[in-house]
Amino acid sequence: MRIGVGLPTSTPGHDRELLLRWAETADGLGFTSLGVVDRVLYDCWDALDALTLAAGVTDRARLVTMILIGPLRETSELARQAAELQARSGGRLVLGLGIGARHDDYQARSVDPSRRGRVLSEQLAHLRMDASSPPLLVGGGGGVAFFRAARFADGYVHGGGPPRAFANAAARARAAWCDAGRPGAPQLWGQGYFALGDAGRGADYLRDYYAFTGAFAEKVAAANLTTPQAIKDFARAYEEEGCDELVLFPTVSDLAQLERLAEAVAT
Amino acid sequence: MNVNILGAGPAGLYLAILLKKHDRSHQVRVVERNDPDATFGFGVVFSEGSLDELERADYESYVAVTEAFASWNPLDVRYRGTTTRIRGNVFSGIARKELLGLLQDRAGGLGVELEFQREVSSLEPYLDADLVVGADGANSLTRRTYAEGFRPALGAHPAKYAWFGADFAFPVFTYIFKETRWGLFQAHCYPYATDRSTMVVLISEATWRDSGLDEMSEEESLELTQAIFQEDLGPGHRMLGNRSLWMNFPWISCESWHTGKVVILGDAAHTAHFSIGSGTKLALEDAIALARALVRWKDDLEAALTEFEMERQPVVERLQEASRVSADYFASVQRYFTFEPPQFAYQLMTRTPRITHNNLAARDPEFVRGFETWFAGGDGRVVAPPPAFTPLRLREVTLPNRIVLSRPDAGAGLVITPLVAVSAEGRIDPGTPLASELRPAAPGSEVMVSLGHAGRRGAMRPRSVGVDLPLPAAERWPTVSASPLAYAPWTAVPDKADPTALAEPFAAAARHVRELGYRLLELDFSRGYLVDSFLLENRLSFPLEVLAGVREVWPAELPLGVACASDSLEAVRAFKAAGADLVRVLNGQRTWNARVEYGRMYGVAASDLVRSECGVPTIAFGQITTVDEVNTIVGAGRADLCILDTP
Repeated sequence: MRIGVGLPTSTPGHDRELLLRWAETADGLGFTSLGVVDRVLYDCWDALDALTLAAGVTDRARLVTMILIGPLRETSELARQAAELQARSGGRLVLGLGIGARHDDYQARSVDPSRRGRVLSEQLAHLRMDASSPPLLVGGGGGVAFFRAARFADGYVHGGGPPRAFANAAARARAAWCDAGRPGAPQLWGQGYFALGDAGRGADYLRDYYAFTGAFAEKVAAANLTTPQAIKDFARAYEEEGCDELVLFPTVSDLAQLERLAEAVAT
Repeated sequence: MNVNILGAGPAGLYLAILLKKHDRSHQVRVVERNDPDATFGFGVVFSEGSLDELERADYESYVAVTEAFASWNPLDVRYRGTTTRIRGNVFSGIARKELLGLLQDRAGGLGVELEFQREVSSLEPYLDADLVVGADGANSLTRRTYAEGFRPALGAHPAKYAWFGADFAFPVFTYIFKETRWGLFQAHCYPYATDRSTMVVLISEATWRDSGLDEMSEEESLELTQAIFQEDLGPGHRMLGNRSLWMNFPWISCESWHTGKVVILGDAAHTAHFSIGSGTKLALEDAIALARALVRWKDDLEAALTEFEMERQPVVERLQEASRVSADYFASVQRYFTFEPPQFAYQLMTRTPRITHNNLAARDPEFVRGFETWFAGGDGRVVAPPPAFTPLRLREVTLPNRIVLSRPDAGAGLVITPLVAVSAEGRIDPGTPLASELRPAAPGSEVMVSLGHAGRRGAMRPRSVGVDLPLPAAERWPTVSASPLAYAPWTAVPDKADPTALAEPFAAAARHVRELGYRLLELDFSRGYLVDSFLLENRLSFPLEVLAGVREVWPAELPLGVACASDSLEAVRAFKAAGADLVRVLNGQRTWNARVEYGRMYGVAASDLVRSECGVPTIAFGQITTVDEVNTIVGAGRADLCILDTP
């Protein structure tokens, strides 16, 4: 299993300088990918802008969206941006797409959420048939999302949670792959949150970021990985469940976090 | 800490015991509307494995309760005049009244304040505590009061059920299936004392009305029900009533089990159908988890309640899901009344995915050995291979086992090819094999050639890239479908098919497949391909014409299969009548946005439906990943063959 790291694009105190240094350091430390999230109504970097910045200071790590809310972006513009980023990064982009979790993000962009599944499918079809398309992943929890991943993409990106939840989703992603008649197996990507030191700040950020989910936010905050042992256990369990690449997202904007993470996953 | 607990059922009392036991300085008050010795519903049953957790949590009440248990491990299935006994299960029963009495004593002894006969109509007077616990059952006032915080999802199972007692102890847990002129009456009976049993009786809504139970008084209802089960009660025995009203089982689940300092547990937070006998155990385990979390996070209530929820919700959800499957099984059990008693009992035992062939063999090796020999033909032999390795005869072809793979393998009982196109325009993509280019049958596993025509799902890019992605314009060929409607928003509009010209290629291809030496043939009528596009418009004549044309040229001694959806059982019956010997049940992809909920063995219910309703052998497909699962599915008569998903 490969291990990547998220970029601090939505944690409090994010800034351009940190983003650049974080990306460069992570690449140097051997993390295999740099992940970004996508939200409209939250203080955060545009996902593709952040990856574009990261592309300039890195040369090995893949650049992955986990996930980009596809229906909020016009398809031909998205295809153009993706192609540009793909060219600029030397083919390191992996585009993870989903419908996202929030209706208010749609309202903020004046996009009708009732058609979002259909729009995403058409968008994926368009991207997939474009010769310059990057590898695609699909995220989301229902049967439709698993089939969408099998129909259009190279794999499935899980939304995070305990290893058991990942295992369950992975089994369903494989079943959809088989159901669709795709040869081989889907690429399976997982994700988790961590704070090595400053656990309180990390938990506060998660409570805030997930406030729209109500009581669920507390559970996300409680599941934050706050010790090297917790990270090791989590990674080992994900690996056992067949995860191909696990991306660990920071919850605190501090470069020291990155080095501690590298140390935790090194052994 | 100051704790107010609403409801002196098992969950509330047990939580009070654990909290007070941990720290005598806690003020723990339990408020209950009823008398200390008033209770409804006779005995409760624990059917879920071990009670070790109770032993660790509070040894004193564990000893008191388990000493009062009636425990046994066999269960009987009384069906069609026979009784099948299965051993190795763990059951314990206790009078609900006795259980509560023991817990009350223990709580009282620890200094818990118990207030009975106190009707709670508002939570207001109880909110001054540090923690408020709603252990107030399925109709929880606490849950209703804070519905916004708990976000409950409520539902009801369509079947009717009522709790009765019996004035004697059934020897073991007993399922009784009794057919009456109004429909099926089932009783789930278990002893809970030397002279008492609980009988939960289940009937359909239609039976409830047709029998007049819907308008009967409690006494009349008891009298009728007793008359129905008199033979099973035995002479001189009678059923007992105690608020034995006919109800629909309530489904309750909550997104959150706590809001602020108010927490709910047990039936207030979640129900699991009684047919898996877990409600009381779940409630007690909730209390243990909550007490433990409160000890660990003694200065952070929010963290404690969050941890409680995170620990318990996944466990409860899994059990609820199993209980839903179990409830649905009992509601549709009449579908299986053609089964012989051994298979009927086997299926009952394996009704939820939690118990497989291997689990059952570990519980009762003798039963499973007997079942295996019955399944293999019951010709007096002492041992036989398990169901997955029992041969299957279809017309003159005998498959050595029940495992189907989609690629050649020496171990497979049958190999099914991917779709083989009857014509060039019927290909899915340029790499789709054509019937005319098939190689002759080779020695090894039997291969079933699946003939089809992709229809409007044709002219696509290879599936190594994706599915339903149209080829570039220059490489496309014209496609046809029942109507000139595109399969998906991004795919081309097909031409309207001319059915008169499209049936013959199937027959020609079938003839060719036969000449190549294959002994099994399938017609793919599934997944929105050409023939399915007619079925989707309820046009059965073209599919039947294709089938008849092929059956005519396909030798009478060789089996012919059809792959199709389970949506129209009428269509499946027509295929059977037209000579189909085997149905591969494939749902999903009939339309571009069809929904499939994946999950372990997700396609088996559809196969089961087709097999039992249409009386035709089936192939099940869908996340079947172990031979143990194949044994279970085939043994339980949910399919005759299973496609094993292998990476």
